[in-house]
Amino acid sequence: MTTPLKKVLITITENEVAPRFDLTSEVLIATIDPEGRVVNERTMVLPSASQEDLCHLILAESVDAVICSGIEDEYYQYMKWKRIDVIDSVIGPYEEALGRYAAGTLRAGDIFFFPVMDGSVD
Amino acid sequence: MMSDYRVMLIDDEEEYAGTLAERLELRGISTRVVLDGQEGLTAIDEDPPDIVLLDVMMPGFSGLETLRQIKKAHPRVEVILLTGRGSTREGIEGMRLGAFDYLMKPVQIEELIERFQAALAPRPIKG
Repeated sequence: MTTPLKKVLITITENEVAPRFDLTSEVLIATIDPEGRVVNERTMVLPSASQEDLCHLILAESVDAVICSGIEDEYYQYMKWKRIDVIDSVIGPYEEALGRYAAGTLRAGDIFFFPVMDGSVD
Repeated sequence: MMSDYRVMLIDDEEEYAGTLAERLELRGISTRVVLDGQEGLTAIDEDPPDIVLLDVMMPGFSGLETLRQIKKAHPRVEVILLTGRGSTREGIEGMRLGAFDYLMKPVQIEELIERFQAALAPRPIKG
């Protein structure tokens, strides 16, 4: 029996995982094959930031996992109840989060920032 | 061959409920249809089913209020909510009131049967 493709949604703000689920206005939805390769990736801009609408989108898209940062417990519990894997409290670039998820190494609470080697500050 | 569990479908849309019940019966699942929440509560008191499939939007006694009453009187009866509009807040309220799941209409029969089986599967006791 072949392992099915997995669909993951990441809440994003610019290049990073969005800090708050309820204020998210952009998401990335990616499909990952059983070998851990990202086979499809698309971003969506939401009409407004709404955790109710975002949950509805997640269910409508049949997403298997959600990667986010801060999220209210009742929405976390609701998605878990709906059998969606919620990896919360993730901080850092969303591409890194996606890569680690595809590799099976992403965990709730992961924080990753890359140090600025030349001492410059943006 | 009939399944070893019984379903009660509570939905005010008679045609929809009748068709869904027919589909379930064809798959060997004993299904009784009741057309409103109050009548459903009386029927459950008289002869509790294993699973209640409960429409959320009903006139008079709402689906969520019916769920609350079912869980109060018959905590072991599993309830799966059905909705035509898919509101997250409604789903969260259903979860809080003890529903097993919250599904959007039109529902796939195979998914529904899988949820029935999951609802009745033994669950580990949390220590």
